[in-house]
Amino acid sequence: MKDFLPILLLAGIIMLIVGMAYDQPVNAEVSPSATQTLQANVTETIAITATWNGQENGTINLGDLPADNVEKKWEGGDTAEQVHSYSNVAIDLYVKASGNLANGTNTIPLSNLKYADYDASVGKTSFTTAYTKVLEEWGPPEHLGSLTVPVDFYLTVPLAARPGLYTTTIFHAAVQAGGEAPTSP
Amino acid sequence: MRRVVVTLILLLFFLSSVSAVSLLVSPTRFEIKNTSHFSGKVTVTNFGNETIEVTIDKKRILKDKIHLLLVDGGPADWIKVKETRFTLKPKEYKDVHFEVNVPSNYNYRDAVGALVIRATPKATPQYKGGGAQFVIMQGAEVIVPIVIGLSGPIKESLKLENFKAPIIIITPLPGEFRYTIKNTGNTYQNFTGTITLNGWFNTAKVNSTGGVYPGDNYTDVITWRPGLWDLGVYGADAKIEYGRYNPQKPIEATSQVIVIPGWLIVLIILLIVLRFIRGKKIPIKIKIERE
Repeated sequence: MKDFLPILLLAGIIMLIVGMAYDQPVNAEVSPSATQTLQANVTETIAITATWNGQENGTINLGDLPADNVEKKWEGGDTAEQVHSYSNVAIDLYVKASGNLANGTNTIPLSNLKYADYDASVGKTSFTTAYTKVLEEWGPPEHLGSLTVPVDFYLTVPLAARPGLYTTTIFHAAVQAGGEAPTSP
Repeated sequence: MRRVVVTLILLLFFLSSVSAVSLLVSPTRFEIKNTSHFSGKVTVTNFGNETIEVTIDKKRILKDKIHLLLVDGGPADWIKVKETRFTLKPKEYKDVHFEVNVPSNYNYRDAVGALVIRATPKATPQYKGGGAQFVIMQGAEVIVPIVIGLSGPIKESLKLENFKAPIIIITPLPGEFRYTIKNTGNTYQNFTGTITLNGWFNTAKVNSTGGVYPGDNYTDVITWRPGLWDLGVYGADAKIEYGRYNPQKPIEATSQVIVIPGWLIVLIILLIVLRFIRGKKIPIKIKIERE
């Protein structure tokens, strides 16, 4: 047995060498069905936000005001009113209010509430109940960006206005710039 | 401890004075051609951090240079909306389905209706007691036009309803020229309005563009700011060109404007004051006393 050992060892080495020479890596053949194309069509979108003091809650609280017939101003900005667009199309922006500032049967004329600026030198203008354009062809923002404009508010509380909580609602409306016109004959 | 409580109360008071309504709508418009029936949907998303109440209304759009009116009737009656009122929590979205059915007796080729998507906050203000408090709620609206174009004979026609020019312009203040046109045809019309001002020494031109649907009026406002040396009587010639399918005969109107430079008025006033001061004689009184 000891005499056959070198022969067995040599045979083993030869087999190893031959095995390595014929060894092929195992590859899975790529099947066409394993490759998939993914696509998504991003549609035209209008997205707007109006914020007061940079946060969310639903109301603009102008606080307690004396009935002194003196116009007060709240300058638009981070701590007051701003309008933001996250749209991916240019928009026309309009503004209106729902009606007079009301406290039950006591009202303060809507004309006493005014807006201005919008970063477009919009002059001081009284709110009305019909939409008035404040920005034309606004945006769109840069890809993945946003646009922000400040809005100044003015309010005059007439003399002898009764105490109480006066409210109204203001609306900012957006429509795609030129969107209401036909595109071609 | 008391200071901490007071600080917390103050913080809560000021934090309550905050507001936002975030509304996202897609797609932003629909255009329907040569069909009397259409079904579509818009996706409404609350991309903010507050719950909102959403209402969907159908309207007809009336628009001019400055104003947007959303009225009932006409194309608004052709639209049916399935989901008209719902609540969206933050980051929620909902598909709103609608149908458009144009009546067979409609005689215009072009019309525009709209979906008016309104979002308002759920929170309501509470009276804290004391004097007069003022709270303004905020809402957001997105208007999605539904533009309808039908087949049929083409009639292009605009009519000038009125043209108003200022009588006097005192510089540097601008003057506004207004005209109202009515679409008496049956197709949507784009137009260009040009005001040509012919003066003693120079000529100026200002123009504006717009669009008006059949049956609607459009009021355009063109502003002219005269130059520093503009002076005298100017002829204001308005010319409105239109014709979406074929160029039409322009509409024309004429008026006159007097331009007075503001600096001239100031100069005249100064001259008058100067003359008055120079021309006024001051009597000298001499009293002789005898000793």
